[in-house]
Amino acid sequence: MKLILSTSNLMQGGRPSVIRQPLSQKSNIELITSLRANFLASQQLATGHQSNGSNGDANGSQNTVQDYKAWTAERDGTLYIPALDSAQSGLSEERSQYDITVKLFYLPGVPVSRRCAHTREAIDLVLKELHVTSIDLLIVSFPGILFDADDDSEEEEAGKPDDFDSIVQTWSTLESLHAEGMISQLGVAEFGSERLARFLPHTKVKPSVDQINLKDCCVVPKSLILYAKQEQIQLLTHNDCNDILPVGTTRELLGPGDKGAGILASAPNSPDGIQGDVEPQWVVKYTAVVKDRGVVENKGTLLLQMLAHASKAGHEREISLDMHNPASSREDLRRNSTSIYIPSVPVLALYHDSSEAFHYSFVHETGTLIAYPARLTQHAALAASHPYILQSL
Amino acid sequence: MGLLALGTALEWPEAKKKAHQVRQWGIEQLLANWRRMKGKERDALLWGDEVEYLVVALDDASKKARLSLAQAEILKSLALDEANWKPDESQHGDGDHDGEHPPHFHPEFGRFMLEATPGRPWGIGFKDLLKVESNMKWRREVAKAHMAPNESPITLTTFPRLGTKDDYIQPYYPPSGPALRSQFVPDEIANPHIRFPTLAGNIRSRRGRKVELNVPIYKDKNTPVPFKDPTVNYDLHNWPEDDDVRNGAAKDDHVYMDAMAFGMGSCCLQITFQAKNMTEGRKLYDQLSPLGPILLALTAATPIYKGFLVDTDVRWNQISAAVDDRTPEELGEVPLKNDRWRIPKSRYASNSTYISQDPRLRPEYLDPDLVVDEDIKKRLIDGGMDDLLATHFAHLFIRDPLVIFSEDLEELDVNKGDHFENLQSTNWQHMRFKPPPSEKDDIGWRVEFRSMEIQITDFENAAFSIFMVLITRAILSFDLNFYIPIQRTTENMETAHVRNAVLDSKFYFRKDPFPKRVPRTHGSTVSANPSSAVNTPPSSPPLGPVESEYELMTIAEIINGCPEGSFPGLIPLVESYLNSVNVDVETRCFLASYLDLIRKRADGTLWTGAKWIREFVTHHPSYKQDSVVSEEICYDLVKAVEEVTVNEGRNGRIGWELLRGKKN
Repeated sequence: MKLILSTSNLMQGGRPSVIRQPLSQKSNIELITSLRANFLASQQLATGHQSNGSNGDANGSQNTVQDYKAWTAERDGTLYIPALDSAQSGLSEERSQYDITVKLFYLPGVPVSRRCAHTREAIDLVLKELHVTSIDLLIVSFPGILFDADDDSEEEEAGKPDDFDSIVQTWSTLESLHAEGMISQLGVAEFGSERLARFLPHTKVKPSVDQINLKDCCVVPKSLILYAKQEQIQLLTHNDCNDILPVGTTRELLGPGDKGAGILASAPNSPDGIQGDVEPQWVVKYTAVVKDRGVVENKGTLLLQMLAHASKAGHEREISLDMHNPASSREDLRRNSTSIYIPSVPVLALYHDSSEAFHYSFVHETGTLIAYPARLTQHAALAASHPYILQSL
Repeated sequence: MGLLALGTALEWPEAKKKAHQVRQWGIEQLLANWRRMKGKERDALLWGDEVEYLVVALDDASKKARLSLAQAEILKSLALDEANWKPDESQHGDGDHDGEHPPHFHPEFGRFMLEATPGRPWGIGFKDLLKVESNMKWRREVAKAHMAPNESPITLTTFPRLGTKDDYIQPYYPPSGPALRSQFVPDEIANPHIRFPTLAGNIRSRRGRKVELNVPIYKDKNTPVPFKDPTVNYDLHNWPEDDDVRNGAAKDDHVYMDAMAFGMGSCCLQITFQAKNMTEGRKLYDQLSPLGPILLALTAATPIYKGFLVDTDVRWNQISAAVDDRTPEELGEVPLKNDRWRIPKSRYASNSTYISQDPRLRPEYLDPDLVVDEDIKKRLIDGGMDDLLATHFAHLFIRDPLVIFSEDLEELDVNKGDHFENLQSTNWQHMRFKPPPSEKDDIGWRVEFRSMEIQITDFENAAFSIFMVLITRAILSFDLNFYIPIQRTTENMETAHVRNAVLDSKFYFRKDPFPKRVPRTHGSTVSANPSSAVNTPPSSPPLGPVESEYELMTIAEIINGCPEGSFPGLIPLVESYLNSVNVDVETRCFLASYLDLIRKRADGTLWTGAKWIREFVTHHPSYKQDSVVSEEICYDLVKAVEEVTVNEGRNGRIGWELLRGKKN
């Protein structure tokens, strides 16, 4: 089963979370909070509850089981959370008035072979959401590429989850969408000048945009500026987080409990929700800006999750354990067990396995622990979703 | 200042008789124009900045800075140049302004002033934003090129020694002329176009005495207590108005001034935005209004009047007093007998109306004591206008027209806007709502933001202009709500005058600017009903008391956000907007430097112009701690200002406190 999560139009929502984050704070928090706010609002609308709080009491979760069907919609094996209302027009003026930019994040750990289908799926949903037939610019973000303004070299982790060939392969999919007239311009994110130079010869449609994340946008490497100018590639800025969707965050978002939407069951065999594990597949952000007035009229994010049964969840699992009892923790890890909530104390600890040092970092929002090899912890974003981490146990 | 028509201007007693007719005709013109233009749609964002300059002449031999009254000659020469300009001609070897139209120069009230605007309005294209600063610098160069070698345009709000006893103008004219009747400035200080002396003369006549400006003196160690303005002449007997000072016009502990030139001779930074349609214009008018006093305090640059340091930091109230034409009855000094009502504010003052048909506009935000001309309001409503907008114009039209040309009273032409503009353009509020000009059909509904003080450098002027543009985009994109009761904005305007208000004072500001969430619905109504202007949306929970919606905040909290409180800050709002649109690296870098200036002005890392000037004076070797800004200090200050304009405080040069925050 597929789950489509939507923030709806962030510009209309009065969603303080869009703005309150200090610049340093990661935008993945923004995504989760705006999803949560949209779920809550849709719940309230469907059930008539006006309470701002959550259903914290014991009976609360019982109610939400009944509720989620009222504000979500299931069609052709896909659960829309909340239900996308295609009756509402996405844009208030005619298409030509807008610049529509879409940014698609391919997520780490998702097989490259799925990208072709994912790209079409994501673009289709955006087109439906905005009631348009084409977009002006599609920027794609490949996992595992980090731009570093200081030395103008992108970093890639050993093991290259997203090697060069897969990028080229993905790009040809985009080129076909471009040929179909669905997308006017293509763009990449986080490419340094070296990667661009390596990449361009493999393209039929050159990227017209390279979007880079800079803490201080006045320190762009000269080589990149010159190369981009020469190749007529526009350098744009963004403040998206590299780790757009940390592992575990959506489980809590959809699960039972105070902050959850009550869609996923609280335990295996529990009847209070859908059974299974969620596996994020892609995230797509879209913005529609009125060209000659610079007004952002519609901005939102859609997120696709695959729902898999716990026993089949092969490449990604959250391990939770009792930190008060390291011995049992070790056993839990070895037994490869699935989520058990632990007392909510922030913990950061190193656990030494015989073969490799592991780094357990506590994920505040979920109350679960995630294990990564310590050598990868500088880039927790990468590490968190490495398929082999837990398998290697 | 608008277009200057020529004709026979009526003296006050005659003008007064025709006031009613001009108002009525003005209202008919407004109605006709409103009917034609109310459906005007989808205009692009176009905007323009207006930069005003003082023309100073430096006399290095005698170390004197004087105001030059050469406006007319300079403008004539500028106009000639503009007429001869060809777009393909590269007049500037560096090609910096390729494709830009030559700037426009306009006369201003003061004969020592110039106003310059970009040759074409700006758009929202981010490349346009990058041109603003260089275009402002270009304007300065072009203006300077048409002046005598020792003259230059500077952007101080006021000339420090305007109205002193010495020869502060060039050429020199003695004071006490028939139009202004000022004991400090000559009639020749004003633009000689008939409109200006008539305006000044009729304000004085209507008022029944000279205008009266009393600014509290800055009390330094050696300032006399009480301070009695030593430049006031109590023995002058040229005009009946010379009695004013003998009747107590000059107050103790204040610097006293008595002419329109002391106010209207100030330089401002004004921004005009074109809205998509009338609805958007009305929304911007309301939402920008609470920002007026905040930006006034943040741009504070006026600590000197008539050769004395004063205890306020901004120009606003001085202009207000300089054009205050209210009679003693209207002022409430004597009981109403001949006049129609008591009027709480000068024609130049903060706004008193909200005009947007926004469901979030609660009736509590409106001024319950607003003075309106009920007959005019009725005429507008009968003509089809809604209550809010009719109230706004019926409020503006409580004033008398001041300059009436007899030639214009022969026949009413509802296809023109001259009588409407007569009233509209002499209501100098901090926001102005401008209908499309009836004579042109390519201009839309516009809103003018008028409170900012001019800054010494073009970097600062560009920064504040662009900041305001970005704020309007954030307001429209996020559908922000800055509403507070309009009387609080009036109070904030007063607060903005306090010395160092930018750091020391608190201002009323709305805590939560975000719209209440109306999620996409399954069948229920979302659309706001524009006709129910002061209704609350049906599905929202009941609103709390208005007083709980706002609180007192520092400028730093308003600009940069409250660490604890709920207000996110104007700069984070702008950043958030910029993160939602495609901005190229170079532009973002420029914008970052502008936003950084504003952020640091607000948190005190950088000084305001007012503080920098005050510190310059008090640390000048010849300053005697007696509040006096001598000719020598004035000369050195003007020289310093010229240098700051060029070097912008780089590498520890003078002015670094304004612009850099550190010496190196």
